[in-house]
Amino acid sequence: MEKVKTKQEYLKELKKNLSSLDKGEIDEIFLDYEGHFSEGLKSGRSEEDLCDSLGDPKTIAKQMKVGVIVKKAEFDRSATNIIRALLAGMGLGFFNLVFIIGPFLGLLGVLVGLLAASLAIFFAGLISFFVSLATLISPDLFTSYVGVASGSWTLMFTSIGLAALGNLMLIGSWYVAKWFYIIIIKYLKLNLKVIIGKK
Amino acid sequence: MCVLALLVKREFYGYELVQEISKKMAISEGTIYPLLNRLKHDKFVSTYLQESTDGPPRKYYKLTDAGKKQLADFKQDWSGFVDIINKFLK
Repeated sequence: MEKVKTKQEYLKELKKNLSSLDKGEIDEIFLDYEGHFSEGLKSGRSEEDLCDSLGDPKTIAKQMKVGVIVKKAEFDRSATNIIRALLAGMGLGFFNLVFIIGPFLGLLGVLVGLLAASLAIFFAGLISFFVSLATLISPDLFTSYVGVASGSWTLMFTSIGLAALGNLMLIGSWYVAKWFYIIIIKYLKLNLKVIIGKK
Repeated sequence: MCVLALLVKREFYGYELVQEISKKMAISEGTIYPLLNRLKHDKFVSTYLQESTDGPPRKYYKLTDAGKKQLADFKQDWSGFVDIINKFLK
């Protein structure tokens, strides 16, 4: 990338990279950087020197964006917001790609597995419930297919139990999914702290 | 945290604050603004504009009550942490 040497170029580059944020947010950020330039110039520093000491406008824009977007995801929990926050986090560098995507995919895998298992148990229970119900109503309906027609009361209660278990697991995984969201946000914030060095 | 500690003494405008910090730490001047931005979102600092005698109005940063509390909490945590480390280093 060509090095930015003037105030105008610097602010232009910054604006370009911040374009996904709200207008108010951008204006707020600009107040800081415009101020920085005007104060710096007043104290006799050159525009080039100021650009140098500020660092790459792209990096600055990324740091600003991650801060704002993670904050947003924290207040408004929607899939789009969390994905935006993740993407912004990844934008900070390849290093973070590994550290964000890795745990994220791992946790997501666990979550999907849990969901699939609870759905499977729930439906297994439901199906065997109807099968047992059917065998109770007309004992010889399934006997040719299912060899358990005799113990159908046991089967029926077992299947109710299974369906209930599946249901509980579904509710459980819903809570896990909620925690998952909170943990991801916490993790992203921690990541930010490490990168930007908040404290 | 260092930013909060500086702001507890008095209110600063952006450039002044950046100079103050970079005097004490090797940190890119540009990264202080994203930091301030986040502190503002966390409601630890607030900002206001004030006319300066020469040039455009300056954006001043001011510590909020939440910021003061955060700083006090941090001070406590920090000295606790230092105590523990010191015990080992002796």
